[in-house]
Amino acid sequence: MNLQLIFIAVVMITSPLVWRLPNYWTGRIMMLITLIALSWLAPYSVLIMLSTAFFQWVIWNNNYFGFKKPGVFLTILLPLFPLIIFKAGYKSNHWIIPLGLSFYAFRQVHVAFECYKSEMKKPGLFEYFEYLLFLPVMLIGPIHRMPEFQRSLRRHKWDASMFSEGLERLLYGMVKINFLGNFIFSTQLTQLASHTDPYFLRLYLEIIAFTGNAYFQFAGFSDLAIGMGLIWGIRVMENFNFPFLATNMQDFWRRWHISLSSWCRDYVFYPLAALSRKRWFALMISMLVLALWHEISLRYVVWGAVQASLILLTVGVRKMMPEYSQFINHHPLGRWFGRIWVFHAFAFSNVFIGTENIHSLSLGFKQLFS
Amino acid sequence: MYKWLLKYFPQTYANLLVFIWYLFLLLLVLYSLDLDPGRFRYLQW
Repeated sequence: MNLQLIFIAVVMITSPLVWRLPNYWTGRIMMLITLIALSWLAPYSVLIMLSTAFFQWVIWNNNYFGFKKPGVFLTILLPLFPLIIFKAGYKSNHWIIPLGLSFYAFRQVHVAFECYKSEMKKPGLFEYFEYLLFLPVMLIGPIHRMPEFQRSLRRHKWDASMFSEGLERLLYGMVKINFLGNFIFSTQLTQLASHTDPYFLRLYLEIIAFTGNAYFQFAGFSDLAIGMGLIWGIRVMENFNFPFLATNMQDFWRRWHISLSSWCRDYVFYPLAALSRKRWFALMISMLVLALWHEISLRYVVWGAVQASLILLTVGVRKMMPEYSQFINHHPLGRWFGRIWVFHAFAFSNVFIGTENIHSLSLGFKQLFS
Repeated sequence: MYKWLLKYFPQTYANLLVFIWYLFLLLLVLYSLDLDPGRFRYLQW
């Protein structure tokens, strides 16, 4: 939170500069501000990002590799090395993961993949750094896409309504993080749970508190990132679209952490489904990648497998019992059944990742299963 | 929210209501800020 507050302060202070300078300079000045702020706060992170990005750019612009495609394919793998090394090191040796590594590594893979597919022309070095060094989304921001970023940059023009929308998003983000996340779900509900008597009810409240807290914290931080982007005049993609209003798990994963799930869909699911011709296999692997992105550990593997099975279950029910699926997804009453099911399925699947954080929960499960 | 309010209220009242709503949210934040912030454990970056 404190780091994000520093970022907000930097964005606010520099926003007149970003808005007033001619369009040509907008991207450059944002890059410069981000570079200065990050070099001060997280120099190693900047070093890793810039070096991997630079090597990618060198490979894109070099004919030495002879074959065009293998060279470009290498640029897809390149940003993943530091990510895997640090995530594995974090798990075994408690290394500190460089600030925002998980996010910019996936952004770099996104650009490399689009270049590999020839969907996008290879970016120039400064263009690429402008995209990567964008302060609002550095910390927990959405994994925004480069073509949209560049379009937003080209259309950059003073817009009072955009600025005020940014301020509004900051306020909503703060409410979600501090009041709904920290106060209601993390403090009050956990306290209420600790005084609740029947054991299963207490467990149930703690599970709800964990998932509610995770949602509001994460959605709040995404709001802050989007708000900061709007204050600088850049519209960043939304990360959450009322996930708990989804009526089935497939729909839920289109609404929860959209930037990551759409990344996995585009760069893991589609290629694997095309290669293997097995949708269930592609789905399993992409949910596994999505889970391991959070942390490389067994509990996340289990969590990813559970998510994949829930989605497969949804697809299975739709095929086997179309009238039941019709009721759940279209009937007003059925939709509420669906929502209750989605919330509980997701909350209970989070037990696997919550056990290390909520000590009492893990103790509780030990007691339950012993 | 402002557009939604404008459907039901004249502009002056809508402005006032939005102002009160933002003030209320700000007070909520200030009220809850004295708790331990940074309890964000969902992701480790």
